[in-house]
Amino acid sequence: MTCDEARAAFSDLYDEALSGAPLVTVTQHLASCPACRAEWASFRKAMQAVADLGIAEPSPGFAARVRQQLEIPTRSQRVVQWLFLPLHVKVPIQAVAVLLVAFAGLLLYQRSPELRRATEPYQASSPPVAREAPTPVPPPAAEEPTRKKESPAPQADASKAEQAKPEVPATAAVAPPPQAPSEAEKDRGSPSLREEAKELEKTATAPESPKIEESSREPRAKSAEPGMAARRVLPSAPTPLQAPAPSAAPVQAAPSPGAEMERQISSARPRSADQLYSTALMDLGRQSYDQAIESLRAFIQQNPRDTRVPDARMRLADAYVAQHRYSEAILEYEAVAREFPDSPLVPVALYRQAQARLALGDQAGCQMLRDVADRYPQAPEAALAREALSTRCR
Amino acid sequence: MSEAEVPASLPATAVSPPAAATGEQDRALVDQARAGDVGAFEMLVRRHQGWVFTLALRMLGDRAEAEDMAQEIFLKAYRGLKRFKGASRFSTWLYAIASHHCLNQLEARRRRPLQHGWAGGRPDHAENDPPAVVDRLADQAPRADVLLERTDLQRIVQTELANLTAEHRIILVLRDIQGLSYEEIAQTLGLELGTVRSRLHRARMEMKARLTPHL
Repeated sequence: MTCDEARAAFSDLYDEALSGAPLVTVTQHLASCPACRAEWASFRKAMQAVADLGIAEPSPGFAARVRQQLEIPTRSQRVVQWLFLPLHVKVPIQAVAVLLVAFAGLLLYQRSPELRRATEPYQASSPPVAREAPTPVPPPAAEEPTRKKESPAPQADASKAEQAKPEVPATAAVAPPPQAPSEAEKDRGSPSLREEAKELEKTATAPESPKIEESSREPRAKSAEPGMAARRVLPSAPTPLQAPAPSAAPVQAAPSPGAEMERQISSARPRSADQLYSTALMDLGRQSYDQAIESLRAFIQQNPRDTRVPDARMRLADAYVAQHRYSEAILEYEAVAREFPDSPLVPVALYRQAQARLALGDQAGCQMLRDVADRYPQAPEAALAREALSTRCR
Repeated sequence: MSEAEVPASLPATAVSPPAAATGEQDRALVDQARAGDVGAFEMLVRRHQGWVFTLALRMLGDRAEAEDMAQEIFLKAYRGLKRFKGASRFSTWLYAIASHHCLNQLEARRRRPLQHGWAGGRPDHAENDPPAVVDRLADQAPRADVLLERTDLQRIVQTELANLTAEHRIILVLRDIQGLSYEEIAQTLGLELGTVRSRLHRARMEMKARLTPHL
């Protein structure tokens, strides 16, 4: 065994981990090698010096101090205690605080028009209709037919110009319309107004599918009693035959600032067919005919295959009539009758076209009234046509 | 020598481990402490404080710092009691926590030399010393004036102990001061038996070389 090998075994020898031949070999080497023997002695002294350091004890009270530390709550425990303890005091206070904040928020919302307006566009577009429903509504065209082409854009500009100048009441030259609503008729008309308002609300709140619109419209047109239809069609509408008094002529109310802002907000959004139609109905409800005409024309142009197009044309024509724009109204009524000959709205459209013509002094209206009475004897408009013939076409 | 030949017995010079006196009593106290009995844990602290404090003291070289570290170790053990499954003795589990805590703290201090500085102003550890020297954790040099060692030799031993690497120092302390067996050291430090044996041999030879001029 070399000296290096013997010294490499010092650690094991010190731990008495050597036995057998290795132990004998190392022992023999140490006995024969004074240098290794001195190294071994030095090794043992060094290890003994290390071991002599011994176990030390901490200062008195160490365990008690550890216990004190253990009993100090941790940071998370302190946060929980600070937040919730004692439970029976802090939790009720926090609950009351939350309620107060919620109540304050609600009050702020209710008393701040800006907040309400900001949130309204994101709700279903029903609230304005519901609010405005009691105001007079233009003739409900939902149940009526017609024919004629939609007026092009330039025509709209012309009609605006026409609207700008004071209207010469063409109807003034015409005899008072036989359907001019008496007080009794107005009374009868109010239920129909409510009905119309409901319909508007329905249309605005739930943008219905074309099928729903069709199904909700047709049964009424077919099964309604003549009187009811007349009430629904005539009283509320400023039809050409109602010949509004000059003082009542500027029927179209200037939109309120709120309504104008609402319109700006809604026009800023992408406008689908349902939105356009709902907006038009709302505008009709608030007698904002210019806007209604704009929305209806946009609806017809953008959705020519929509099943609500006949209805939209009727409403468009009625809006023109409300503005005494009889020529444009006649075109729309004609479009309904021409483009949708099978629609139940056709007799209504023909009857109203006749009234519009009479309002313009065109005696062709009388012939149209006869046609209505002859071709649609079962339609409510037949009776109305006969009555008009007897009073205006003698 | 094969690993099978490594003895679990202790040399005559080693101090008997306190773990030998533990066992069922420790287990009962642990159960009580787990149930929230802080007093039971205080008893455990009393039973093991000498061992834990000695380890901290020999690793740090300073009594005050050693007491702080021992306190941290016991707090750590208390918060980790729920994770103690009882597969090993409580003492073994506690010693593992203590050893790793010491090594981690020393490593953390080594990485913050500017905050702790060179405690003893040792001339052989200037700022530009090579990393190998820095790795010897010279910043952990003992403050001899605060060591309450009984003899000059003990102060020298403590000083030279601090000049060992942390790995060598802790294995020397665990074996030659705390008196753990090879198996216990392997379990405490998470090392193989062969690694324990070879590392211990290197640590002892280095310590012997350092102490020989003073003996």
